[in-house]
Amino acid sequence: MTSGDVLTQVRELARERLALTVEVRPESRLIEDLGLDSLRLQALAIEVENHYRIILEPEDEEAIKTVSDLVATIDRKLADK
Amino acid sequence: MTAGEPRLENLGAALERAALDPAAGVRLLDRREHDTWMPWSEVLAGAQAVAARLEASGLEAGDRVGLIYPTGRELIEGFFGASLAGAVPACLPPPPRFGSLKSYGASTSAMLEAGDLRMVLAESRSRKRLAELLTPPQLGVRALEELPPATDRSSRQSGAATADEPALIQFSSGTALAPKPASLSHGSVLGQARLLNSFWPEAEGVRHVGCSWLPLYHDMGLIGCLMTALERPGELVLMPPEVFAARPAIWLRAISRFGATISPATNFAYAYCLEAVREEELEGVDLSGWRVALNGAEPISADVMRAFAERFGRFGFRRESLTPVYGLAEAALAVTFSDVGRPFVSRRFERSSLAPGRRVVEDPAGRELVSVGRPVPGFELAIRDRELTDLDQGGVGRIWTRGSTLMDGYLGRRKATRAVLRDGWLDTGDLGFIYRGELYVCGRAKDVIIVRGRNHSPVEIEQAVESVAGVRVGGAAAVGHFPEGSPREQVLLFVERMRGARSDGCENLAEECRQAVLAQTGLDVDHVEVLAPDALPRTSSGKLRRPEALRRYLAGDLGSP
Repeated sequence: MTSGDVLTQVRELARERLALTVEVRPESRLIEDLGLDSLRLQALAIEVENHYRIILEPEDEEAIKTVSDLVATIDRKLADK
Repeated sequence: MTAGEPRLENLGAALERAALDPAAGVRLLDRREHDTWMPWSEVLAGAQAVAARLEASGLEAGDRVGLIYPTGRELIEGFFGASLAGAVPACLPPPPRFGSLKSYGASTSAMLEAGDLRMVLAESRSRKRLAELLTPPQLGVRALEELPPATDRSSRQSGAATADEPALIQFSSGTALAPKPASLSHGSVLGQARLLNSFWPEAEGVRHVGCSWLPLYHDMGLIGCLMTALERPGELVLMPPEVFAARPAIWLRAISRFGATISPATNFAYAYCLEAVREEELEGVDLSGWRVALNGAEPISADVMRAFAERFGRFGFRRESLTPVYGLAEAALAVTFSDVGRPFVSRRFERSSLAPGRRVVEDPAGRELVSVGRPVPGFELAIRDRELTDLDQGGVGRIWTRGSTLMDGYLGRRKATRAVLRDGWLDTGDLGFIYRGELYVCGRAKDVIIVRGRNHSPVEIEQAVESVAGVRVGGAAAVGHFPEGSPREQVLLFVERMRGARSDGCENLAEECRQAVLAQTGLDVDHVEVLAPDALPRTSSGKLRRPEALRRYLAGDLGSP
């Protein structure tokens, strides 16, 4: 799976499961740009973990500010599996 | 319980009794909807092992222990383990996902301090990070598996605790800035569980099963769900709150699949199901066995309940199952209950009559309020004015209650305790009235904004915009407002722009404020209104008058930018 695939899937997740209508760009910040509140951040974490069967640790999450950070973390976790 | 059987004195004794019933326990449901059955006997064995380790690590009887875990086996065994060791457990919220760990660290440290917690137990995966984030308690932030192995000496066991000794600490009614550690005795916790269970007796061959996604750091989750299952003893299907947040349909599917009869939630949760559950996720779901759908902890919307009943009626849900209730952590949980099995009652009242000191008048075009019923057994209500004089039926004032399961007080806070507990009566801080024998809540006298069952202090929101350039220092006021027809409380933020700042950048300033609040508190403010400097009403000593700001805003009288 390439990063491009993961980005496409994250976009799909955001649209379908989080009902996001704003454009999801790699540089979009999860909170400030996508406007995700604590409830939808929880939902995003669970959806990502379920979809890829990975676990995001607190230290992974702290480094994730943008969509591309998230995609990079998913890539790394998938490579480590 | 049969007549004449001795009352259980403490949580440990209740757990030992529950462990004798192999059909009773907790069924843990994970995010993939796999279930793990944990009978109370297994909880007891796990808790005994935890207790022995806690004792070997220097924890003394009466010490407070914080538990920071996601909903699961470790949390339940840790909670009862601390209790068996004679300690007083306090469930604390786990870190937010992707959220600000800095503000989480600050608010959780404030809880540790307020509750005088001596040790925090946490998952091994997050222990290290938590230890860095939190002001360390005396015995540290520890993972269970890192605690020293049990020594030979026999476990203290909480068998020694009497009914009037503290059983647990609940933080659910405080806010991030001012956590309030409500200390509840064994007698209050078990008494509250017993009175709740009395609302759904096992009759006509019905075996009650509970189902909950509510967090155990919230009173409705811990006392309303876990403790009732322990006291009965019975079965509780328990799923993590984040699973509900991601897929609320899993809650409804669990109720159907495990034949749950009782499942409580907040008004937000019923509204969220309407918005986020998809039809195809409910294939084969049958909600006809869900007899008691409690709705509490937040202002209740009749519109939301009607819409929920209508939509999920197609899946067998019965409208009369919706049961509006009222309670608070300081009372252990429930204060009033509407009649179980009766369709919920709502009435419309003239808007101007719903103010302190007024008498309510019914008005077909007025504001619709939902009855939260009558006092639960052992409880009484009083509506009082500012001078603490009792008002007659229909008079609007502060809701006070007296009952058998009130907290002992806020731990170590005599002044804060004296402010709410007087002569055995508790000031709930809510405004309401009694009409035709039933309680209606119409507002809040205290400065708290409730979103999704969590309390937020306006100050917490106001502080988040202090660093936004262009906002006048001290010129922000956050208020909660429940507009008619809205499924939930709205959060409004009024900000004064800095003196000399131009008024044409207001839209940007409003957006920056919204982002700052979201980043620091995880709350998405519904509306930011930018005002001219000095537009907010203040007292002569300069204190913000938030309710007055809201009143003027709604009347269109709050100065424009």
